[in-house]
Amino acid sequence: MSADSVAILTLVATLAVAVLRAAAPILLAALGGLISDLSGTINVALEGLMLIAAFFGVIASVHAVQWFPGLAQWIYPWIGCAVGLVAALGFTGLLAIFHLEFGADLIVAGIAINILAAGLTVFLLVALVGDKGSTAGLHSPALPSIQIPGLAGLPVLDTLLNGEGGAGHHVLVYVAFMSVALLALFLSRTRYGTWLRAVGENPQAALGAGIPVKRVRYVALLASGLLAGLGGIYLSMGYLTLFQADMTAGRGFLALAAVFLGARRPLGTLGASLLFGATGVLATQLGAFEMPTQIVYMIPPFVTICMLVFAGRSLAGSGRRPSARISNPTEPDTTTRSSA
Amino acid sequence: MTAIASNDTARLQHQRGIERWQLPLAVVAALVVGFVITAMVSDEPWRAYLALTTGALPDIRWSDAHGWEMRRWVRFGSVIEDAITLTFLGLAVAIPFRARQFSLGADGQMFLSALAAAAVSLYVGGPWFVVLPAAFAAAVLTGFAWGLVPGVLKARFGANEIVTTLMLNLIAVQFYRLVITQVMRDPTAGYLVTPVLPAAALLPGLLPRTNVTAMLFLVPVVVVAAGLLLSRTTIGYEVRTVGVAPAFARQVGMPVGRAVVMSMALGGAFAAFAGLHVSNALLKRLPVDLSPGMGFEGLVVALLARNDPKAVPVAAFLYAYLRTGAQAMERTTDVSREVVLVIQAFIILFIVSERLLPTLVPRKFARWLGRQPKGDA
Amino acid sequence: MASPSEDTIIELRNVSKRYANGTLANDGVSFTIRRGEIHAIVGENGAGKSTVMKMLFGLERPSAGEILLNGRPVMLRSPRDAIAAGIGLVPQHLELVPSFTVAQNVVLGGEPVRRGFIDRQGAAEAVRRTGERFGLVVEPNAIAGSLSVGEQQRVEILKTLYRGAQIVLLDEPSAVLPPQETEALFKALRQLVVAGLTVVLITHKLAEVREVSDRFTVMRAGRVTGHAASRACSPSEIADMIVGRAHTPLQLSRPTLRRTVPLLTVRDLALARRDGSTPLQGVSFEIAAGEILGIAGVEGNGQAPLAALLNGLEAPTSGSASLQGDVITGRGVRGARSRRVAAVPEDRLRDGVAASMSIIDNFIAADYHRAPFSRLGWLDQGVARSKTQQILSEFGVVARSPDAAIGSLSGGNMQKVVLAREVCSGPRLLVASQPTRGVDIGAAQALRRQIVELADRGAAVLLFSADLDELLDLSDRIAVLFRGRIAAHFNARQVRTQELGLYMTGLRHDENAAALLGSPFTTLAEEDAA
Repeated sequence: MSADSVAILTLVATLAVAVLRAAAPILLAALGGLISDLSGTINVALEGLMLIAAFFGVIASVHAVQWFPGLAQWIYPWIGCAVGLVAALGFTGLLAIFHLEFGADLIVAGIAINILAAGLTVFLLVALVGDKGSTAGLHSPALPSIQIPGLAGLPVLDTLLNGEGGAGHHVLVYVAFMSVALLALFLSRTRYGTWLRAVGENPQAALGAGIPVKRVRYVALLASGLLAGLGGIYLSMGYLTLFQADMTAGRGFLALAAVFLGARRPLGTLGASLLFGATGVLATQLGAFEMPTQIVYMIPPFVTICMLVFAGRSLAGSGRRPSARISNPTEPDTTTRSSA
Repeated sequence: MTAIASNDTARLQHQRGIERWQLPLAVVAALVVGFVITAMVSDEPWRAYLALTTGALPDIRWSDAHGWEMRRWVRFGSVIEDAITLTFLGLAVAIPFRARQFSLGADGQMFLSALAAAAVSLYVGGPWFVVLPAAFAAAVLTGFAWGLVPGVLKARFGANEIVTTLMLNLIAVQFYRLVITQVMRDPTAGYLVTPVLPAAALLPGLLPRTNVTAMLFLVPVVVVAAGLLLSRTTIGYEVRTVGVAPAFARQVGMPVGRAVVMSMALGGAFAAFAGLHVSNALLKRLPVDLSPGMGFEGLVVALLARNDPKAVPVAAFLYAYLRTGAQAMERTTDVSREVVLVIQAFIILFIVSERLLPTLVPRKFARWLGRQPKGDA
Repeated sequence: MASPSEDTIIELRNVSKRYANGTLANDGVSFTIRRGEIHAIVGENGAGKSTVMKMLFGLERPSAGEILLNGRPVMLRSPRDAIAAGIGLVPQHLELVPSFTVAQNVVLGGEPVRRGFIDRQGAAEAVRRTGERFGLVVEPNAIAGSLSVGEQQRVEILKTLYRGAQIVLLDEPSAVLPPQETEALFKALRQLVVAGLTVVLITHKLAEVREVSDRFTVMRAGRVTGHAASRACSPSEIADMIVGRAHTPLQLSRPTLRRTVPLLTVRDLALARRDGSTPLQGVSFEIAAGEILGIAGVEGNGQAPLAALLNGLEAPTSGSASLQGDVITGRGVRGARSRRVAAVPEDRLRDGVAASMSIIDNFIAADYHRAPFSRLGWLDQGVARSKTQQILSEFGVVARSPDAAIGSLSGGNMQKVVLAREVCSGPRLLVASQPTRGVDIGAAQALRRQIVELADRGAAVLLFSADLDELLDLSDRIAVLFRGRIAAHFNARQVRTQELGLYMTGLRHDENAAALLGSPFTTLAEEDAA
């Protein structure tokens, strides 16, 4: 290969790496959104849950040294990760209980959790760290990256798989992309995944088949919280190694959009997340070509809207709706007509 | 079947008995939760809560040297300013909610209307009675149009309005930034911002050293207009009916699709007032980094007001009051102001938990509460 | 009552069921079902048959009495208990997951698993084998949503068989099937019995009782009113057991003249749905001014679609209806209403009123967009209030105030407001569907009087009612709707409920029946015999 083409491909690989890293948190949250949506109880609190996990992960990984002194250094970030996930699960549980037990509207309760997370994280940030902006002073650790050895001779591949600098991709980036396959497998090949889809598509049928519908909904919500939590942990213990107020910057909502843009399928969600991740990367690159970054940022939302319009047109006949939870008084009400 | 009706009456009574108390109980419970959280991290929770609840008030005191004095009007002024913006944003969310549409687009509508108002203020010359109405018209038309889009997408294509409004928000904010950066930028300023709006376009101030302007007088007008819209116009009637009984609306031939579209478009029109307020009263020039998110606060206000226009300014004031009180609390104690968000979140959760109170409050007690000697059955 | 024997697989002993809201759905029901038979539970809507089925499947529990399975009392607390006891239910509204395959649907909840993953191969095999064993031909890998209704139903039957059902309950299975598929269903049921299962069928279609069942039990108003071996009874005996009752006349005398000039003309009105079903197949009739045409029929034979077409809610696939030459179908609800069509819908709480809104808001719902209720989009509250108060007293509605939520009124008072709203718009045609359903006797009488007065003022009235007494009292002529067609045409003064029952249940069918003003009446049974 000529030196020029190597250089170009290496550049492309570098861009690709940036896209992967930007897309990973969105992807994780989006997979959470997907699993909750497929079960009929869409989790709109992804944004807040990411914040919660990001915050508690950082705090716990720093304080773990005091709680469990004397352990090997590499364990502490993982303790932080565990605590962050537990915190995200806790808040998801709050959402689940308020919706499934107390009848709170799912969307409104999700929005409330987002507000709760935004407030609580900053509140605790000030109380525990004394700084309103971030935990930069704490020097919190990051989770490890995975380096693939032996690629020194293939610069393009090395850049692609190990990033520039060769440190390797963050473990959670691997987790994110593997989760796509795992989730797809789970949904189509396992019992519980099938039950989950049945509950979302026809809860009456699931009930009649003896499936514990409420329990499935709880599990789906908790799983979505776990995935969103992983996305948040990546942000504060990978992408960056600190917690900043509002560091999710709307990724949780982009994740929701990614679910719909991806036609509510694992592979589609992957594609949509990559698109959203790519946007940020491309915006700065295209800035060099006189294209205002704002226009680039407008593209993914625009594409999402178009997708919803086309999806709506094709689904209108079959009566299936983009998301079962949301009421829709303008839908052709064929199901409720008592016809002969 | 008649037996079913009488059971419904019993249930309605049980519900009504509780509904009256739902908002106050929710607020109290949320304050308690907030207090518990505060007490866990603060050494002076009581003082903090005192600051929270009274911090926004102006300071009125007597002193021998100066007689009656009123201090800290500026702080109270910011409460009023916030409350004004939040009232309009609350209406922007509440109206679509009445038709059962979850429109989260108030942010984008506000940004674009602010842009339109600023543009007209900057480029249309003339005295105030030309510029101001023009700015208002531009803002309202923009907000209306931007609210129309998700409405049509929903009515024609069944596109989920939560996602579309969120996406449209993103597009609107980007467009706002684009225009300010490329077109309306003030070259003499040190940062990305529009030029200051001409004096003719600014609303007259009411309180010195604050941004409380004549917009305050517009608030009751707009609120009353919103209330009348819902209760006295055919459009409002359709919106309400479609929101509570869509099958019935269809049976009697109401234009359900049109009602949905109009509810969202009208919501946008109300957001436009917030946009104009921000541009011509509060900031007097538009920065590129105007932070989005006020629309969500409008959502909270609408929820607190249970989507009733009459209650929106009250809820908006409460929200703004607590927020400013939280800022005061932050200045004087070791508790940061975000605890107010925690309180709000719990108020929302408690309010919308339909089954929480009925399970906690025994039936008999609730029926006793429900038997009020008022006109409504 | 057949005494329980070795052969009895299910027995209900004095079973009663009172719901939480007070309705007594079953009152001392006792009957037996023999092993290996096809047993039909027959009766009209509201007779209590669905409740029996729900109790047999554990969806409800008896308030009194006991259920015995194979001679031993059982407590079925949930569908799980019922399934464990070998009882399977094929519900009326199919519960399949449309995007899953047949095999996935059949094994739903009990998927075979191999090394942690679903054994798709094994599931398909098991489904195929079960199908072959019971003679139900299915393609395990077909997508459930793409199957015809009949095929979907067979999948539901397979679901019960896969779970080892010995007793298969079917809730109104032929209600959703077009006639051709009913044959296939019966064939399947007979094969089940050959394989040793017991089949219990709920139906109100008499013809099928004789065709497919061995014995049947009749229920009416929550009680068992009879039982027999299916082929040992004559059709009229069966019809009698279902439909016959003492006729209490209404004390409304109506002139019995035959009119000649139609006000409403309906020609070949037909409706075909996207899923292939044809709820209405070429219905033609006429109603003269001042005339009430009653439509008798078991629910589900085309009444609701017909009402929807005339009201403008749906557009016909072919044919049309017109009022004095003015076409009213296919123009939407407002189009029909502007041509002075009014309708009282069947489901009062869902379609007739907005329960949480005030009486005033409900009353103006039809004409609010016109003067005098509104001008240029602005509602005139004063006019709305005064008109509402006027009709409240005129129609004898008992309400605390016009601002009260309409949902707080009794069913009868609610319906009075609904009828008032429709009548006050001065219609030429009133389509009344079950106007007195769920209404107390006093209010029902008042409502009927209003309908008759409307007709006397020159309107045409189309009356759908499951209450045959009401139909006979109010109508001038009666047409029977069966399977989307007019099956008979009678002079209301000359026909009896028994006769109507024969045509309603399909035991008899007048091929040439049409309900035009000049059409001959269907010959009555007695005239036949004579």
